[in-house]
Amino acid sequence: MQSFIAALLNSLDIALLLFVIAVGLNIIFGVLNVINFAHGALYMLGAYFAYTAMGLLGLSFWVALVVAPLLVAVVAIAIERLMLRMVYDRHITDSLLLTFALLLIIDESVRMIWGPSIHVVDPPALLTGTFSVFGVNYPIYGLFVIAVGIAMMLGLWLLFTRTRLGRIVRAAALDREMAQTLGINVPMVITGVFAFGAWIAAVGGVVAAPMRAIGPAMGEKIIIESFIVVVIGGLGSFPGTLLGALVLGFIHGFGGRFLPEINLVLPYIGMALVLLIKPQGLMGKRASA
Amino acid sequence: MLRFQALISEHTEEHGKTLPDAAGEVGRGCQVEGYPDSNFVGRSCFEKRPGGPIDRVLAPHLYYSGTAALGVASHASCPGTAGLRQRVSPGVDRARRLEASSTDPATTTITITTRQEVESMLNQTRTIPRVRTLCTAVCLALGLGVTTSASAEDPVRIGAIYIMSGSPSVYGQFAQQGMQLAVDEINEEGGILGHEVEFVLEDSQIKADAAIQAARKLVYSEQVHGLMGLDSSGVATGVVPVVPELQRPFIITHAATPDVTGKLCNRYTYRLSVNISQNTKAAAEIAEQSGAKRWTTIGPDYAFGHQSWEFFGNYLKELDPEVELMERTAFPRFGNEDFTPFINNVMDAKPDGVLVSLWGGDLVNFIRQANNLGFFDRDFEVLMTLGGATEVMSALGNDVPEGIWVGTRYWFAAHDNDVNNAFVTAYMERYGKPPSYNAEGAYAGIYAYKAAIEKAGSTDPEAITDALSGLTFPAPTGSLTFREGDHQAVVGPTWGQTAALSEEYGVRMLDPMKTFDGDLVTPDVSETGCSL
Amino acid sequence: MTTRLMIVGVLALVLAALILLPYGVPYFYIFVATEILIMGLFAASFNLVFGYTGMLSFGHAAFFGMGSYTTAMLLLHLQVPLVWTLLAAMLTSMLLAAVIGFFCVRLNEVYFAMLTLAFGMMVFAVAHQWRSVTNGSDGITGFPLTEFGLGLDLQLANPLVYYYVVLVVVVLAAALLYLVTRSPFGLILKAISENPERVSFCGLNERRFRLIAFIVAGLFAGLAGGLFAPFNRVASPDMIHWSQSAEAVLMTILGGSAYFLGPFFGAMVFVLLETWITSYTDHWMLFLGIILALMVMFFRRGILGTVLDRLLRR
Repeated sequence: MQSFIAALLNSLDIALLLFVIAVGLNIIFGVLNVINFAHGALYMLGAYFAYTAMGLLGLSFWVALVVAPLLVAVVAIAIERLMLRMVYDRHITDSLLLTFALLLIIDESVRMIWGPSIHVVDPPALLTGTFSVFGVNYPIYGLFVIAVGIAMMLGLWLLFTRTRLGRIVRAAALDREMAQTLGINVPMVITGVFAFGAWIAAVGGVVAAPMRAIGPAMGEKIIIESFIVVVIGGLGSFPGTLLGALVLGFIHGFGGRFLPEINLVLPYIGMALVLLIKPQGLMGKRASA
Repeated sequence: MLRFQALISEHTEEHGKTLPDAAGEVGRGCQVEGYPDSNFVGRSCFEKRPGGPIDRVLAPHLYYSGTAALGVASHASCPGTAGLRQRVSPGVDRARRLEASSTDPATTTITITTRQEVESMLNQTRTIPRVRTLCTAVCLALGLGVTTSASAEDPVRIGAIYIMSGSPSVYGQFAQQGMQLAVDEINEEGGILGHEVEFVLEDSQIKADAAIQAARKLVYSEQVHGLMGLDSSGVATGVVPVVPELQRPFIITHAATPDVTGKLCNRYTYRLSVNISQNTKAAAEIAEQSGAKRWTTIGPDYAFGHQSWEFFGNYLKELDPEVELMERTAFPRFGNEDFTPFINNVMDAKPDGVLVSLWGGDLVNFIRQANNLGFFDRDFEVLMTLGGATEVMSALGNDVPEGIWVGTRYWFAAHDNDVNNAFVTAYMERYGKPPSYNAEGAYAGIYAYKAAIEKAGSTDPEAITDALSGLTFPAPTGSLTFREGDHQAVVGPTWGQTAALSEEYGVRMLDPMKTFDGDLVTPDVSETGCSL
Repeated sequence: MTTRLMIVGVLALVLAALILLPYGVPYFYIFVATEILIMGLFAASFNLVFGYTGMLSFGHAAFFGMGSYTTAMLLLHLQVPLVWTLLAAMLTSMLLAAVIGFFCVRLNEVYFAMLTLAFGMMVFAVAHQWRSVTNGSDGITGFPLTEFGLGLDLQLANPLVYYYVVLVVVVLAAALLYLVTRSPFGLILKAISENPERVSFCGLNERRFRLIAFIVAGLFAGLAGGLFAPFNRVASPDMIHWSQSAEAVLMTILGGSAYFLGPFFGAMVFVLLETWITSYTDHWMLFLGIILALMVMFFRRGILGTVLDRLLRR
């Protein structure tokens, strides 16, 4: 029972962190029709900015949580304006290749700027320590991650369904030309959405910073995981992303705990199964392909 | 300032500022350049590939030129030298010190026009015995007046393969610093048999195939005399069988699998660092004294993690047949991010003791997550076989739990001897942090080559290889000997309990601390499976 | 007709250069050239799926890895002559491609890329975790290089000899692969990449053609892998990882996917750049990223593609 609860909590906190990262990926895909390979690199950039703010400049975690994602969003605006814009009207593989190039560039730049060492930052005092449920000790910070995930989910849901801005974005996602004719500044919306997606990834990076080691390889691992989440849940589907993240979180939380021999293979088997049975993902709209 | 250079080559005779770029000329060469109003000369070696301009600087170094008036080499103009500034700076310091003895600079003229003349002139001097034939295609030198000590000879080149990318690359960084320190010290003292020493570093990427390619590149393209390095057991098991084909000695300074000085051993492969059997035998002694009976492990899911557990278990059973080695173990993938499920798994198993063989970024992640889960507050012993790596200790600072046992191949405060004291002082002065075991291994590796070359009296790779066998040389861990039977250095690890954080070093110190005698923890050659 | 003659002439020159190469370059470049040939074959096999059939696979390294492991394990356990291990490598990777392809060709575009990535990583995970057979992340090492077979007395451990073995095998394989692309079958693949619906409307089973292309590509990737393991003396999970698949993608983009020799040319540029740039800096990936970004943005047809476009238009 105890181990079950520990695995459950662990699954949830992995899942909600994954959700935060994958949802940005999915929003970008939904609107831009771009699979952003560099999304994990933006997440890493968020973590490194947080490290710079907290570890080098001595600012608090909360300041980092506000500032770092904004900086990453600025980087993202530059990327979108200078590079991605050139390939929208081409085949989707071109944007995949271009963002893959970006992944290499950002990864290596990070290593040049911050060096290859592993960095760590401490969680804020408020969130340090453990709590106990049913005899299981669990870090408070894990709860915080879960809370951030839920807050992000609610915020996004409200944004997309209850605000004018959200409707504009959805309109642009649905039919660019029509949105343009209706007087929506589509290029602006696209830049905004890409920056917003990057912002979300960076929030994930800052949140992850106190519990993961900050190192040059952190983005690469998360991007594959995010792909799996998005594919399992459904490309372009918002609730699907949550479901996908939960599935993967549980695979990690319980698989690592109870089936360590095959825990590496499980996520891929899950992904392949979903793609075969329901290629558009568990919650995806009917795929165009 | 007037800068002048002269180009001497077997085929062409040119004077001028530019380096040769004639198509077809291939080879390596050295250039000596200087300024007429000082008495120093800089020497740089270049490599030239077909059809292209001079490719890269291999060994910028400064010489005092005796009575001739020459100056400090301008390295800014050479491609690829930016990262080599450290190597140059000690020479510059020396240049300043010697400036007062400068004689009349105005007398300097370029007098050398042919390679034969350079050679004959160089042969007159004590320090430059010969110009190697390999170096004859392109040779650049500057006229040095009548007497000179500048050399166009080849340096001793040591090829190093360490992890320079990815999350464990901090280990490679420490190794690079260790080698740099050793090389500068040796060159300051006049080199090895009068040859200057230099190292060429390649990235192993923690992949066996990349490391093998790097080794080939070092041997065939960089023409190194010997090889050293290797951080991972997995990489080492791939590289070692290929070493005999390369016909260069290889000193392993980090990778710990017993196989490379066991069933995979060969004539060319040596290891100066502590291997798994040495380290786990020490760990087993600590474990036995702790009184814990039920043991489990968390280790990386590759040879190193599994072998650590296997050897530890065997040694512990020998010491105390009563102990129980639990079935329930945890082997997360190397480079895993979230260790929580594995930590929970081990805590659920309620062991008396846990052997942790994670290292690098994994260990950093693990310790932080284990802290969060209260792993170290539980009622079991924790032994971390590589916890004493300063790479990890300084990244974590106070986050390293107090009072757990950590092992390391080398601990900077564990050895009170002249070599170690000088090493630690110089390292702290230069890099502002205490040397890690990987820095020590790399530093000692260079000195092992120095000792072997001096013993052999030659830089011939085969002669060096033979000289290494049975060689005893001074290292920071004390005097080290490569056993003749399996080429493993007889050396023991240091284990200690983490204590208070040291302000000076930025890491927790170890107290109590125990350095194991290499003779006691090294298995007999007959047990290693090596036959040489 | 003159263009064709010119092409034949250029090819003959390239071939002559490859044969004479070891006598004109420093010893180390024999290794570089061997690697270029093998990686070129790997990239060319990938291009059958990507450039010719229009499917971006991110799991192509699975077949390369399968070939490597097959060769390495046969050499380690049975000391089979190399020629048979290569055939076995082609066979096993073909079977693997048939299984993976059976599932993957049902999907298109992004889904295809993702599913191949998933399957590729599944193979990676198996190689990584099935320690008793694959030796886990350390891979298969220390296998002996015995004879080539077919009664030929070749010292395979000699890099020069191995270079010629690779040259002969790769040239034969490339010729075969080229014939495939020029056959009616190859033309159908091209048609699929341009307009799959149209192909279906013509009454052709589009999915079956894509599956066959996938299997053929897997077979040649397996051959490349089978050559690579003895060259590198190791078969490790890294060869299956998606980043290895990405290398094939990079080489193809670099050279140009529209021409048959594009991937080979891309492999040459890639390996040479890697060899040179890593001598100066550890930050080779940064250069690679910048080059790739520029290629995708401005020279989508690749270096060789752009050059040939210019030449042939004139």
